[in-house]
Amino acid sequence: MHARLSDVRIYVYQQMIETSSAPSAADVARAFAIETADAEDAFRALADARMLVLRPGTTTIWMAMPFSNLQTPFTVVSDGRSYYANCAWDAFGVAAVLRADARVFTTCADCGGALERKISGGALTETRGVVHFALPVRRWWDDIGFT
Amino acid sequence: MARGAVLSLEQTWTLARLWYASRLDPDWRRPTAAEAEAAFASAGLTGPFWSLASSG
Repeated sequence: MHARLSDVRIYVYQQMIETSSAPSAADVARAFAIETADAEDAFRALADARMLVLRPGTTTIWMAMPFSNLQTPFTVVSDGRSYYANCAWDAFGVAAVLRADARVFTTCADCGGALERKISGGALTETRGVVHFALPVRRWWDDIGFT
Repeated sequence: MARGAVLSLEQTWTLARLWYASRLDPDWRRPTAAEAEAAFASAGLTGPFWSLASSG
């Protein structure tokens, strides 16, 4: 028995939003009443389609973009929960996915100072600051972890 | 390393909403290269840095 990939993907995001962590393949297997091996196959298929990123050599979710399943310097706090994002853009992406007020925390890449920006009512409350993209778009998936 | 692209926070927030607003839609799929470039352009991001013309 197999689960639809779109259902697995949505389940991963729901768990990430509710718990700030991605489910394991075993978690997905229990939720969908399938074998763990089938859940792992679903993770690999989603990763091949660039809908998830797995830790290399494993079936552990690394990224469910814009969320990171691993600690990063980009934290987003919303509705009493804290999330890690993969980068500055994804930090704002977390706020966009949640469609809720949020605070984005990171550190300045230049001086190391702490930075906080807020999204309230769908808008930035403070617009000072810039985001630097080091790699051109066509190279992002050369090594998505580096990007 | 060559200097990359520098975006304002407003541009970044606009791009983030364009890129991620439909991520929880069960029918969501990755954008095509043309769709991605159109999204970038709508946020004022054009030029070689934002081009996917040579991607596989």
